[in-house]
Amino acid sequence: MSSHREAPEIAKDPVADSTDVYAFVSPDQPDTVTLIANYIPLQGPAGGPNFYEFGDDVLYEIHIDNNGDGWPDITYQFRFQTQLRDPDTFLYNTGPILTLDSPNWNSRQTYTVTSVRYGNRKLLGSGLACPPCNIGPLSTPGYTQLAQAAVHNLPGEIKVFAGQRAEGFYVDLGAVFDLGDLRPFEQLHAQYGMQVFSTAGAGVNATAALNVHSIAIQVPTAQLRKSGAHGVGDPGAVIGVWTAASRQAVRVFDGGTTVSTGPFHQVSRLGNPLFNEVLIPLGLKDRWNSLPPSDDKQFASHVTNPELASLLPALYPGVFPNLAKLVQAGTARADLQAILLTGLPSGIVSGFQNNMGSVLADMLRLNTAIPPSSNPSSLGIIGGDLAGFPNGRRVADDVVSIELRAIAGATYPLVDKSYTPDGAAGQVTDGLSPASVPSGFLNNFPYLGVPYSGFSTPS
Amino acid sequence: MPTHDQTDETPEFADSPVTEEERNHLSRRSVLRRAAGVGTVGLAVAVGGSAAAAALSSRSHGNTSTAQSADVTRVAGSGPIVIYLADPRSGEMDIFAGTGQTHHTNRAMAAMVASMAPGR
Repeated sequence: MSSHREAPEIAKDPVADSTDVYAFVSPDQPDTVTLIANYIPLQGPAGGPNFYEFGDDVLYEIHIDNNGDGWPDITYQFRFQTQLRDPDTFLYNTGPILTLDSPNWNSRQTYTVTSVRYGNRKLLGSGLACPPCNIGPLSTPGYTQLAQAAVHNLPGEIKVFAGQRAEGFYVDLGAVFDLGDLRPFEQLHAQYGMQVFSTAGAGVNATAALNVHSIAIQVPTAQLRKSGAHGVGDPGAVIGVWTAASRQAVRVFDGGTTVSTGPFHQVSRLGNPLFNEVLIPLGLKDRWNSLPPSDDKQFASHVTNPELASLLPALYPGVFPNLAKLVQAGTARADLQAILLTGLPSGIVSGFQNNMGSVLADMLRLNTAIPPSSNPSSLGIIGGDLAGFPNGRRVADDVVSIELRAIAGATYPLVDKSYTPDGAAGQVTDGLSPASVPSGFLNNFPYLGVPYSGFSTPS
Repeated sequence: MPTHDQTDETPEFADSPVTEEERNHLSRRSVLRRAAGVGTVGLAVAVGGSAAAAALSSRSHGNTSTAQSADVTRVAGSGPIVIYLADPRSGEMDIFAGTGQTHHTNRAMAAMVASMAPGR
């Protein structure tokens, strides 16, 4: 998946597992940037009575680098507190939850938001209410309005929301993890001689009925990028974004309670989708999660010579002959390095750049001077839409197809015009689109759809 | 320059082959490097609040006198303190409290704690 359960250790710790991060110029508020970090993957909506919550013992952070060193200049920190109103009942709620302060809501969460700007900490808000999980028509009637009440305004014209949302990341997990099957092309799969597929199939969105927990913050752009006016070609217009979760060094289980102490250690990180999931080998994934982007140089070879690029010609014989030659020659993929580790410099894509210098760091790089698209393409820049991935990432961007095509060689001509991509490189996909997300997306903050209710989508 | 080193809630990062410039950038890592380098045999001692110092000041196995407890009340702060002896033989230990961590070398104390550990 994007980064759901992507590493051995974090797969055991869903509360701290960062699954997706988004960064985009807000389409309805174009003088702001929206940053969304998702956690707690693969939530079956009916998962009660202990419905999903953020971790009180986890430090959640969204980082922004605005000078290209792969180190945060600005961070938003989120800490959660759970209150149990009635410890003598097993119920999440004892009646309908109509408001965020409903006495019927037993287990609720509030949170604090702290900004750290160039080393200076400032508490932006505390006691901010999360919405409940979407349980069903008896427990959480009017859920859309209930969740909207959990959008809070903070000083500095900042908006924030933290709570359950419908999973917006769409992917055909069932096929992809079955030895790289892509259903729209599965008749071309080598199939290990088993002849399982004779015709193409339609993609299946494995996350179609699942929820996630989102932390979303909308910030005036001027508060994130370097000061001064910035045109598209100005490196100062670009910000690097990633999210992280950290736990304290020591956890002791003591008589039914858990005690945490010591400094926080990063246990999860996410910038570009699928980076740790697909590019970093199993033995390094946990380590990658523990490091800042400024240390990513050590992983660069896994970007420039990705394992998946060698698998595609093997799994789909005869479909990727030019990619096979590229892999066989051991050619370092400067296109992938630019897209994922430095940003694209000026002169590669007409009217666009999101380069932040030479430091190799996995971050979503958003050129904040590119206005929102009035006719967005889910294929982002390779679909001719400069406002989409890999210029930051919007909630509906088809990052699976974009990255598949890039790894298949579709973007290699950006750095070597003599290379002719295979015909399949520009078409490869898992067969899904934004329409594969049943909840749809919102046109305004927090943009991710209303979570699926447990009543309507039982596990 | 590091932007977060002054804050209490700033994550530490794992050891990494970084440049000197980067190392200065991430100065708080040094504590972790030392902790990571002391060995593979681990012993963690966790005790709550002032009881921690009381236990450590007592050479009797599990018995804490009133006088010793009184001394401990002078210790500032509350909450648990955890001592981690990655390799008791080295005498090196990391002490965790709140969101802090310090590194010490004290062979006598390490030997004393090790002698109180189950199975030692």
